Amino acid sequence: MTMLLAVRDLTTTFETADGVARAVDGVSFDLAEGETLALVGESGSGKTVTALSILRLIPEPAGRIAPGSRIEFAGRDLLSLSPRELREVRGAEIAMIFQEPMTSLNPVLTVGTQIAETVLAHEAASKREARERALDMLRLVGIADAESRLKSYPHELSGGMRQRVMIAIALVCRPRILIADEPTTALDVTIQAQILDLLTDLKRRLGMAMILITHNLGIAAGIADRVAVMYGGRIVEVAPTVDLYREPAHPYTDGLLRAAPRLDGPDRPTPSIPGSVPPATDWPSGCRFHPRCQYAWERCQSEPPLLEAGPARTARCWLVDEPARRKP
Amino acid sequence: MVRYVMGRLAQGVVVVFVVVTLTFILIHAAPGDPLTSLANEPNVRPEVVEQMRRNLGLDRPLHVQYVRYLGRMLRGDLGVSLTQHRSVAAAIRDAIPNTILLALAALLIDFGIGVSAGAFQGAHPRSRRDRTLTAVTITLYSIPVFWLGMVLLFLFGEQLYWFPVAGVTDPVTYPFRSGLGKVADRLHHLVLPALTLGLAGAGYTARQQRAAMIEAIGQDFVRTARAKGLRERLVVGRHALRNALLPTIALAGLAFPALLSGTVLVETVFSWPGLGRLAADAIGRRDYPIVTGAALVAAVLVVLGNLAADVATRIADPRTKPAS
Repeated sequence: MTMLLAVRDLTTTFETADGVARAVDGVSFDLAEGETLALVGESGSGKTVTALSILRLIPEPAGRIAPGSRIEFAGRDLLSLSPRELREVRGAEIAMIFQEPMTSLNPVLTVGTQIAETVLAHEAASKREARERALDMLRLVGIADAESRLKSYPHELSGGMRQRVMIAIALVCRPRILIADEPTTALDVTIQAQILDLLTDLKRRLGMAMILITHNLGIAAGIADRVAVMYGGRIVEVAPTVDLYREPAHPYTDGLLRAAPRLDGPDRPTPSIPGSVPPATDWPSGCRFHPRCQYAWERCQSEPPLLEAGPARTARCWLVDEPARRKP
Repeated sequence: MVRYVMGRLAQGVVVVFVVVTLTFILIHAAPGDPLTSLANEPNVRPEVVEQMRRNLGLDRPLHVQYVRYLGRMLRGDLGVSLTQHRSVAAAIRDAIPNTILLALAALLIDFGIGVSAGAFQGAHPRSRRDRTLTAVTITLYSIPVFWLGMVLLFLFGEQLYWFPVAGVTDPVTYPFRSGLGKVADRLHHLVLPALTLGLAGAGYTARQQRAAMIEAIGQDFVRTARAKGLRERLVVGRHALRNALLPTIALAGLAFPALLSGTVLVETVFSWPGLGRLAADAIGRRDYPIVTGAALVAAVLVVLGNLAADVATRIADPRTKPAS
């Protein structure tokens, strides 16, 4: 497998009224050609900021990617690209779709314009060719009556259709990586499944890699090859999807899996992880999860590195070292 | 759209009717009447004044005068001026092109300068140039329009002699100029009054355009535009500015009444023979028909201006059209 994207020590900070928030703090991961990696975690864990950092869409100057961070895409460091070089990557090599299809589309431009302008930005196409491409994309993402939909405005479409349009915009230049940030969170459950099926199908047909950001472990289980769990601005566990669900190595992952409501489980209250995610301006010292962890002991006052926790999997937890402490 | 416009016009008729009624009551309630100055003349006998008052119908109870006025108005007759020897319609007909020319030129300057300055500021908030422009626009916004007019008049009219200080045309040379020369002369006279009125409004427009631009740039769809790899020029100019212009277009409709009130001051400072000056003079002389007639025309202009802004908003914002 060739590595397409390598994120190393990514740290993104924000100036806030309460001090500097280290929203993403030393995150490293790889993405292979054609792979689907899910970034999973609660709100505030740093998933979205990680994704925005890759395309350098962090609102400056409040937000800042710290020096020493590296994001290598096909051998180039995205963080040292000129604005022009960066533009050539955005939308053409790495594309992104967002959570809110309503607000992420421009309300005063037609769907056709918004798809075609991506083509015009990256390719030497005529307006007519760009329009043809937009039409093809609308058909590809399963929008009926695509011809007349080109002239529609976003408010004339349903939520699911808007997200299909977002996908069309993202994929029209055949990117090598698609970053999907909570692509179905704002949609009805029935539509969610359709959009996920569409993404999986298109990913396979276009042969691209995907980073799927979600707080929903069920969605991650359904389509990801590997899962990276984030907590407190850090990756706490990375594992192939099957292994992660069968046997979570990090107590936080375990808690997340247990906290997912089940229809087929015993009739008991769904357990939850006590406490809440601390603010990014004030991460706890040591392991960031230890104040909420049922296994925490003295050693957790110092932060563990990502430890080898099995074949192709790592976890940021001392329990990997001392499995005996994991009581049932 | 046609139905919408018809509905708004019907509302406009009501507005105009209310304005005329209020103006009629207020101007009659003001102390004195058109014959007060005449009555104060020592050589004029009181009986003569009384007779004139009867001839003009001013001795009738107010509601009778009002009904008579309305009746004539509905027949398209605005009455005869009490101080000028001509009909109100003729006086307004002479004044209104001057006011419309002044107001449109001022509107162009107001929104031309205000929108560009504000959009630039909003695209570069907290930059040095933004702060400089903020100082300028807040100053413009705070300056009283007549004072700005007098300063411009003093500087560019009396000191530098760049522009004429009064009137719409040169009283001596205008009749002898060629067609193009006449246009040039009118534009030359237009510069200072239009600049005064336009700059006064540009301060406010820039403030509002800056805020709208900052809001638009923070929207998710601007992030989408950047994620697509569009040039910053397109991100700001197409995606952000188009949305940021919508509130400004609506504002133009609201700015219109302020603009017309501004013409009263500017026309007075620059001796511009327009509707504002006509009304201001008439109020001083208690020329009731002129005052009411001018208020009527001003109300119609405001209604039409508002309607034009609303129609423009509806055209510019696809969300206000019924889904196809």
